[in-house]
Amino acid sequence: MLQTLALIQKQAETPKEVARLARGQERELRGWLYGPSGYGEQDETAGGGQFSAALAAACGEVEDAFAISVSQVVVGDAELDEPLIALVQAAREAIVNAAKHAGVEEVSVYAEVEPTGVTVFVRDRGKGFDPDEVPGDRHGLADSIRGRMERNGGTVRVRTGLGEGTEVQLEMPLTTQKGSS
Amino acid sequence: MSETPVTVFLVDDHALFRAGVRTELDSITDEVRVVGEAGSVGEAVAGIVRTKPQVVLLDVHMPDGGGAEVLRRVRPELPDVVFLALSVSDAAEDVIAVIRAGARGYVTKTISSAELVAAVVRVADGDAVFSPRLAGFVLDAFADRPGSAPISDPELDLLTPRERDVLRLLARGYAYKEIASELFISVKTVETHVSSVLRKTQLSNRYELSRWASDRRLV
Repeated sequence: MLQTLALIQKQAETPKEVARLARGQERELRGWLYGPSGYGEQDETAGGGQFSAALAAACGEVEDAFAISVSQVVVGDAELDEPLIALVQAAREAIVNAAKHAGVEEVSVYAEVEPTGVTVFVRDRGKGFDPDEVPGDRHGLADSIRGRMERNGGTVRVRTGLGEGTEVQLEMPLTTQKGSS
Repeated sequence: MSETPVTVFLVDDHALFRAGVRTELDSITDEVRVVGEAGSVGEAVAGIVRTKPQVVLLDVHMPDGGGAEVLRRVRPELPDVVFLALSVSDAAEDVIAVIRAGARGYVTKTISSAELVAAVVRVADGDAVFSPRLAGFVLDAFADRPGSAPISDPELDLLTPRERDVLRLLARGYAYKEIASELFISVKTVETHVSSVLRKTQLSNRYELSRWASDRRLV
């Protein structure tokens, strides 16, 4: 932390870089203050890890890599299994897309775990695009997002339009009953 | 709507943060006017009673009991003063506690100045302000879980499907206007739903809510 503060002072002329450093430190500090799964959930799961923690980690990685702010809200939680890992990866890809193409500083991520499935919304208020004329470099959506989701039984919906921002909705049904209580 | 600016009182134990907010609010708009500030619970109570602002921007974390203590001491005397919590904390118990102590909304300190002004005006008009995170917490607290305690008062302990829809969109980062067009309802109706959710969050005895609140010794 002290090192980062020193770095921040050196980088004072480049606001974006300072913001990135500050966000990373903030996240670490929060993780340390409020515990592993965000806000004081007590259930200690030894194995696999929790969906919320994996999603938070993915958001953090994209924040760091692209110097944007990813605000995430997660309701409920579930133990990670293969489809949920795919969901987190697809969500990560959607956030990366927003970071690269939307031209905005902030991306909102909302995830809700329900008994029947998990839904993730990745939303930006950026440029948007014409869904009928997806440029050739937009393979990310087709392969990394749609492919990942559909292989695991999930679905993808995209709402966008030029100048209207983009919202990617990812839905993964929960097939297995959660073994632990 | 109103021609005269909304009067605002700032409570935060960091002088630097107060100065920053004050400068931002004063410089970007005539809609709000800062009438006073305080850096401790005692100062805040005295200052609010003296200046009788319309809205108090209240830091959740302060020595001597924090924002909740200010609410507890001021509200019986001045029930018309509206409190908007402003915090860096993302901990559910903090946020829920200050809402249950009577705040009409919660926003994080990273909010933009324009959004903060909009939030102040909104609470001054009697509406509630939910940040995406607060919306998420409330959805979580009202979720139906296997093994959750039986509902004692359906009027207060359950959200209507429409209220859930509104909260989900708030959690997804939608503005009121966007929620209204998404759900084909008026902005006024969105406001009504949010106010109703606020009431339930404050009054319900649902286990999750009372647990979060009692952790901070509020119930």
